[in-house]
Amino acid sequence: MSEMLDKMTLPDGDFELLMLHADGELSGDRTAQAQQLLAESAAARAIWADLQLTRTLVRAIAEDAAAPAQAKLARTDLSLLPGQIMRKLPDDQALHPVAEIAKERGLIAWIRGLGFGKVGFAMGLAAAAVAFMVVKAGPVADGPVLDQTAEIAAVPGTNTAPRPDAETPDDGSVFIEEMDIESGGVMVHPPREQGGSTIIWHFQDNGAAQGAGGEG
Amino acid sequence: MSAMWSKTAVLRGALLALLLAATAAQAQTPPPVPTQAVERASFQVRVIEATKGAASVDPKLADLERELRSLHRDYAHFALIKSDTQSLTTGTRGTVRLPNGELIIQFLGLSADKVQRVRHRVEMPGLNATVRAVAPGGRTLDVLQLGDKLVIVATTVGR
Repeated sequence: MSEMLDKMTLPDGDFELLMLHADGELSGDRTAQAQQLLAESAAARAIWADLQLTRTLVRAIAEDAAAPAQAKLARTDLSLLPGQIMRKLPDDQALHPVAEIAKERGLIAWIRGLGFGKVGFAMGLAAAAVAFMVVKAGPVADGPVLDQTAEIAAVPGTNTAPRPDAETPDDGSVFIEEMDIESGGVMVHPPREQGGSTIIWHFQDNGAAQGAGGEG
Repeated sequence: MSAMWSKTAVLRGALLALLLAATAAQAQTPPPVPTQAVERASFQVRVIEATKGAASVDPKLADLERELRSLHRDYAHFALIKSDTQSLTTGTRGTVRLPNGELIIQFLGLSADKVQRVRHRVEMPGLNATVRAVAPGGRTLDVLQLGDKLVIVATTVGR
């Protein structure tokens, strides 16, 4: 449990540094900084191990994903990571532009591609976590895989967030305001067309659900 | 004279007592409670089972056919297991029996947005709980794999 607290309390800047280091996107000085952090912090090393495992899984999934439909499948499979905990989003990542997501590469892009600005991992822990968020699940047009990502906004310290009022009455729009995850994971797919359903996949820790997302 | 003064004093005392009593009674009367309209929402819940059998969709699920068929490439047979419509008032709960436990829906009230959405909490047994705000007519499909089957809960929200 104390290990989990260490992970959760690692400064965001250090967490970001490790993620960029895992992607090999750091310059020489920043790389040295990341290595020093790993040498000095047990929490950083624990997170590094999680990131490496995540990276391995992502790579294995991505290598199998030749077609866009399979890539979508791979994105969903990433949510099967055991003990995944969704953390509150920082302000500056609210409503992360889809276009920017599409330009990103590597692990961060995969994680953000899930629809979350930041994801914390606590492997092997059946911990409960509350993610305060709003998922705007309005209809989206078919397109590249990452374009299917739902927009997410968050307001720290509250379970509500400002929502666009562009909808007309009885538009059937769906917002996920709050998630309380006991185990497993959750994936939200916005409707593909007006009047369609918002699809919410519920994953168990044993990775039972496979291939969520369909053929599209 | 003194008797008359005495009667006046008694009369004044009685009037004062009446006045105090009336004031006290008024103070003890609870303020009128504004009548609050009872909010109500309906939840049409359909429990669907998907298997890997031959492709077919229950005719009662015609409105969902397109979405169900595109849900998962391996699951093509969809059968309606249960259909129920629950009318809930604010704070009350409804339950739906699933193979792995009871799904609980709790109506939390209407949102104060321009579009009044039905706020409700959905508890998936043993997994998670989500708070949702859904405009009337909106629909969610909760999908969970149990063994070699998919259990799909289609919930349509109404007022």
